[in-house]
Amino acid sequence: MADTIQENIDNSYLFGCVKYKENYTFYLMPIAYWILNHIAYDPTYNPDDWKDGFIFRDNILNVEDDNIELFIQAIEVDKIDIDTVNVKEYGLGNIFLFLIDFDSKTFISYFDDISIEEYLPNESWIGKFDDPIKYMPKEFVDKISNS
Amino acid sequence: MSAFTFGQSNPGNLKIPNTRQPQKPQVEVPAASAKPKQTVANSETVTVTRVQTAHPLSQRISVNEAGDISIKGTTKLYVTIDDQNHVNYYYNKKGGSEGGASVVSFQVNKNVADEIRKVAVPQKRAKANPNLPEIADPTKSNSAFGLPANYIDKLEKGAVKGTGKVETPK
Repeated sequence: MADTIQENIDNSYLFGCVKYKENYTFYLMPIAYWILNHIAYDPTYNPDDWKDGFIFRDNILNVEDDNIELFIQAIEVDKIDIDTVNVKEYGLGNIFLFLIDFDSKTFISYFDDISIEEYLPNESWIGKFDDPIKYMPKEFVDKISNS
Repeated sequence: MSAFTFGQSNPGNLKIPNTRQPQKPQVEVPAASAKPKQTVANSETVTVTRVQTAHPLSQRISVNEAGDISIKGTTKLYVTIDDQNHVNYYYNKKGGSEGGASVVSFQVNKNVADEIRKVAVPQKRAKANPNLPEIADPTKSNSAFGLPANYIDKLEKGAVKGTGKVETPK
């Protein structure tokens, strides 16, 4: 059986966490899925231009208050259960780069090649370039970090 | 650490000299052993650049004393092709030399760059096209790409020997 997690890591998927209603959920997704506001990030993109049947994130281009749950539904396929997946064996701690906190409207990105923390849903959000592990409760830090 | 709020512009204010390559770059080709170096005009190459930092995932391209490059790792490599303004922007954003950033550049055969531009897809399409270059940060550059492993290989093979350099502009 193919190791989908390793395949996704090899395809540059990145690990991160979404906090919503005090629940912390983990995902392994391509960089584009971590960008909250694609209308700002890539304004020329038009889903109708692509006829190959692939739909990006259920066409949710900007994750705002009224579509948070649809967004979470759209990325369900990329969810990682850290209680059953061997996070350390996969080295996911090395690519733990994001925390999207819908409760406090804070986006933490440690992705060094593009400043995706600038592409926020609206003016009520704060984006920071920083290591998201600093913002995680200790119970998760122990599971995620490699040390 | 830096914080941004919606709509905030680039806070970086460091200035570095514009070192844009000429239209027909002069590529220094090291000659054999003791012979003097040859300099030849070359319109068939373009400049590939990457800003590297102290971030644990950033140091991907290294340059040896002969100016030859090697690329570490197979995950997406983000580079800029012939866009010095974008390089300056990102170098400043990362704090420049004081922030531990450096600019790594080298010449690559133009056909490799042309192919990257031709086949690159929006980043949103990466799941459907894992082996194609992705267009990165399109509002900041029309020439920044994330390269998957097969294109990292093409880039490395297409690099002109002896043209690599690492700079830390003030």
